[in-house]
Amino acid sequence: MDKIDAIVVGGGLAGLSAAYRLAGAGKQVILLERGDAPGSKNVTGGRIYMSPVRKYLPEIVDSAPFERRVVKELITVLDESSGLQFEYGNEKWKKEPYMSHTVLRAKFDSWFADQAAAKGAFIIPKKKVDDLLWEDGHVAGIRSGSEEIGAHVVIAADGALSFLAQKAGLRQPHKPENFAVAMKEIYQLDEKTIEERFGLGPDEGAAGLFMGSITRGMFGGGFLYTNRDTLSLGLVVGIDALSRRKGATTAPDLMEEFTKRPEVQRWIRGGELKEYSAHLISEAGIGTVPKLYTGGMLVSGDAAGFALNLGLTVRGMEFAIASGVMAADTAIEALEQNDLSEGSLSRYEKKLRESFVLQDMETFRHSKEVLDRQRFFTVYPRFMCELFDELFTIGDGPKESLYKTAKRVAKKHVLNMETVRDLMAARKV
Amino acid sequence: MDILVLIKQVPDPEALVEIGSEGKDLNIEPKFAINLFDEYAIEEALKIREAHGGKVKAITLGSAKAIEALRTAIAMGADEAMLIEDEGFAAGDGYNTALVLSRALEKEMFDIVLCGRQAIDADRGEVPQMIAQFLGLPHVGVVVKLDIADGKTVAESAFEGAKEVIEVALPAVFTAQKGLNEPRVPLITGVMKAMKVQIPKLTVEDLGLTRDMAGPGGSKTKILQYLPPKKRPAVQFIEGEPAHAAAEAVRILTEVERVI
Amino acid sequence: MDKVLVFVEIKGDGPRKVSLELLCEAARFAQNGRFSVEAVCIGRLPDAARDKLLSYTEKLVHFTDPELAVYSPEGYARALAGYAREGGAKMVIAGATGIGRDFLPRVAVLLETGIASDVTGANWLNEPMTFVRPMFGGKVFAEVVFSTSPVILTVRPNSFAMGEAQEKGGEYIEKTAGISPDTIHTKVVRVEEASRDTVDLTEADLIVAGGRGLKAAENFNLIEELAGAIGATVGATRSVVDAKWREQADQIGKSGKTVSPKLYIGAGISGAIHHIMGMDTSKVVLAINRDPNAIIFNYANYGIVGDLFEVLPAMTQELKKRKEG
Ligand SMILES: Cc1cc2nc3c(=O)[nH]c(=O)nc-3n(C[C@H](O)[C@H](O)[C@H](O)COP(=O)(O)OP(=O)(O)OC[C@H]3O[C@@H](n4cnc5c(N)ncnc54)[C@H](O)[C@@H]3O)c2cc1C
Ligand SMILES: Cc1cc2nc3c(=O)[nH]c(=O)nc-3n(C[C@H](O)[C@H](O)[C@H](O)COP(=O)(O)OP(=O)(O)OC[C@H]3O[C@@H](n4cnc5c(N)ncnc54)[C@H](O)[C@@H]3O)c2cc1C
Ligand SMILES: Nc1ncnc2c1ncn2[C@@H]1O[C@H](COP(=O)(O)O)[C@@H](O)[C@H]1O
Repeated sequence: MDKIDAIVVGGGLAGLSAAYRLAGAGKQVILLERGDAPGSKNVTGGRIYMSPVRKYLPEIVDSAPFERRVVKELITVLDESSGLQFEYGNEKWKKEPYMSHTVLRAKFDSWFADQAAAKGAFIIPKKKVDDLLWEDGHVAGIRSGSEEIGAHVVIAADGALSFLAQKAGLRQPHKPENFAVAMKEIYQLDEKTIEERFGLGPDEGAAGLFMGSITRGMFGGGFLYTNRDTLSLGLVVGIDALSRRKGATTAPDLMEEFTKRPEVQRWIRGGELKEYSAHLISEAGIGTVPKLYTGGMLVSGDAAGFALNLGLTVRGMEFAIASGVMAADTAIEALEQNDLSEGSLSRYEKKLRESFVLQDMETFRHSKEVLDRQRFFTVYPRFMCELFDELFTIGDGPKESLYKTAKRVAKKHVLNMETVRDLMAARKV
Repeated sequence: MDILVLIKQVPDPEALVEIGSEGKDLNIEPKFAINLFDEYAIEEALKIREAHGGKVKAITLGSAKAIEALRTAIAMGADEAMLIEDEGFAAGDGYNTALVLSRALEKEMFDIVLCGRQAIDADRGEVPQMIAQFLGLPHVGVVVKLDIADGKTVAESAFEGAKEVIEVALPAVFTAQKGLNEPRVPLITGVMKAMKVQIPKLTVEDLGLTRDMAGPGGSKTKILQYLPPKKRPAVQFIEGEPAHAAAEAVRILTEVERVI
Repeated sequence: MDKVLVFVEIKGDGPRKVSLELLCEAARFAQNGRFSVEAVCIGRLPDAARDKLLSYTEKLVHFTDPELAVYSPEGYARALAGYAREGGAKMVIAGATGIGRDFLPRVAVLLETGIASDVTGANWLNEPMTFVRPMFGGKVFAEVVFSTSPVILTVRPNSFAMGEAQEKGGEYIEKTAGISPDTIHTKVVRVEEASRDTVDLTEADLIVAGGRGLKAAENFNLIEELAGAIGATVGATRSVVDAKWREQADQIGKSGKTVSPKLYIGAGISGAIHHIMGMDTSKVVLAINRDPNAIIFNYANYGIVGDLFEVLPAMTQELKKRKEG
């Protein structure tokens, strides 16, 4: 069979990074994406941290069409009927190098695809890869519809449900408890309104987190990011938790309730709903990371399970970019040595271990177990809300001292054996 | 059979179109596609070539970006492509577009010209007929079937309710309508070939025209301003049980709106 | 006086409705004495059609060359352009029907002028005259002016109001265009008229359209019965046509027909933008859908949230009751 150098499957950040890098090194590479265009099927809350990835793709990171640089964090804790919000800003974040940016994937990915194409990669949308081709126990290409295309190396960057990693026997079939479902809406609002409403300067953005009763005690939380002239609003909930509810609550119900909360309405009011999407997030941490390579194939990004869902924030884009680049670098070396064996490709894992990718995954190894304790999403938010409720409410009786109030409310909600256990567990996070 | 296919790159059917400042221009979301009806034209050309031999050449008048449409045509299987690069003429009226394209066609050898029924940007449906007139060729419009056999070319044209079966002498121009065929999806290998191919470019000067002909002084018609569609008042829901709502609807249509 | 030619099209025994609409509109704008209007008919002209036309125009010119007996774009374009040139016409107007849109662009080239296709509105008395036509499937409209003469237009059916027929008939003139057979390179082998005797969708005043909500081809009888009760033409969405429940000729929308009726009733249609593009210039829209959030309600004057299997028969019933009562 005629073979090209490399095939990348999936036009998300992992795939695009790999294709960009391979083409930059003069390798013949095609990237196949099943969606209408790279980025068309990708869902991201919308915040990317710069420093972990700058070193891998400086020219991309520094000229990408990001939305706004984040200078402000808004944290909102919600009870059934009350909310507590605090804001954290840091002057440092307003200066270069910026810490993080909000991003809209449809725009960023299609720009990134143009950059990769300019380097000589063939970016081919509307092509779903259906199977792997094998030769002497090595992956030797792909099949898409009626076409079989041979390649010396295949990079699977096909997202959280990676079916290629499964086909290659690198990964166990998926389990629901390892996934969260995320819903996201995009609201259009003009630039000036966004800046005034959030108290931002031009190009400045805010990142909001919501926790508490919005997930009805289930693992998860809400997010809100300011883009140039849109807002990204979303909610993440564990599928497992959701399915244990036996269908009484559906994810879209939760999303609807969430968007109706006054604490959310105040931000999105007057915005026109432009887009709705839902996506899966792999969130089990390093415990479920599959084997990352086999002869003729490497796995990167969400396909490799490289995403951290910390309940409130999801980090995946940096992992996708860095692992895509490292997969490409490994492939380039292997192509140059004409050795695409499993042994040769094992350098990929070594690179990952030396980088933040596997190190961060390791650090947060136990976060899932800890965060899965329902109390994080029910009892503690309720405690905080009630505490403030007591503080701010003036009834007809005499007001207790602050200390007394705190102790009484705490006793009711959090001072018990279970919370002690939670705290012990949380030390691991 | 040598077949020329005229294709136009247009905003994607899903692209947002908004009217710019003071109605003087349009802000169109930069998502592009080959005009829907031109895809049927390409497919038909490929089918004719497969049955009768010859070659298929795709031609477009457009901006530098329009080369993407030509690459798609090659990915689908066209043998050659040619870009006439001129934004002024491409944005002009139907007459100017047809003038440029007919000049380009005068330099080509062909038996058949296939076009789309209408470009879904300006929704004019004029250019192919105008080209046919410039070149003194016959045309058959809104074609849903094309048969070439025993030296005869028979086209089926779907004019509104009626279907006309028309025999035509070649060379001739045809405009493709939905129903003519199912356009093929390019193969991966086709796309790879298309990305590599060198596509020749012409300018309007190469065709003996001058750029100012596309300017305000040169075009036959021009757009003064863009207007938003009339907004319908908010929907009025007719409430009640189905039988009641139905009766009420009939009452409104006959007595209030007086349309039936 | 500026001469205006209105190309009139014959279908069956009579002129097409859009031709009469244009004659009425031309008579209105000619009232100030600046314009003189002539109707031009090419080819077959049954007596009934001639008589009817003569009650709508002061002058009817009829081209009777045998070569023009059946429609051909080459022949018709030559005849109409030749006559326009000969009489120094300032404007040539035709309905934006299949035929009108097919050959008027050729007339424009023959007269070295531009064309505005599928016009939906006009300011005849402006200086210069301006015309409004939809673009992008009706997402925006363009106001167009001509910098050359004559002005060539095709006008969308139902854009201008019909007027009353006149008492006294106009002048009737027969002419030949001198078309030689070898200028026409197409030959009509066969015409398959649609089996139905209802008005074509593009010209219909009343339309009842159905979508996938009807569930099966046979359920379209609910649509047909309601359409029958009010004398409407049946339309369909692309999903329905792709599923082969209805013919391609029934499809309304971006890749089908553009309709502009006085009343459009849509049942079991979600209101995808591609469909809306084909019907948004309808005057009154009634949508029936069981989903209160269906997009079609954003484009409707009236809405019924309910099961079409109950609502449609009830409407048909009510209409029958009214007719009898
Ligand atoms: C709601 C939500 C919020 C998030 N918020 C953040 C955030 O704020 N910050 C952050 O860093 N991360 C965030 N993430 C995570 C981040 O989006 C992902 O980790 C990242 O997009 C992974 O990139 P990827 O390239 O590996 O996969 P993807 O972006 O999922 O791309 C995979 C691509 O492969 C294609 N594909 C799949 N199968 C095939 C096939 N068989 N053939 C061809 N193509 C195929 C898909 O269409 C897709 O385009 C969030 C995720 C979600 C869902
Ligand atoms: C390039 C392109 C061109 C296209 N061109 C066209 C075109 O020209 N014309 C066109 O129509 N489409 C066109 N489409 C397709 C279009 O996007 C939609 O897919 C299509 O119009 C949907 O048809 P529908 O409304 O019948 O079906 P659906 O979208 O499936 O809607 C069915 C509706 O029926 C309702 N319903 C179901 N049961 C009942 C009941 N018992 N009572 C009441 N309501 C019920 C449902 O709530 C739903 O809203 C095009 C698409 C593309 C991509
Ligand atoms: N700029 C162009 N380049 C190539 N073909 C064109 C161009 N404009 C129109 N056409 C052809 O003419 C058909 C009808 O276009 P229009 O008359 O603009 O609606 C299209 O479907 C194309 O086949």
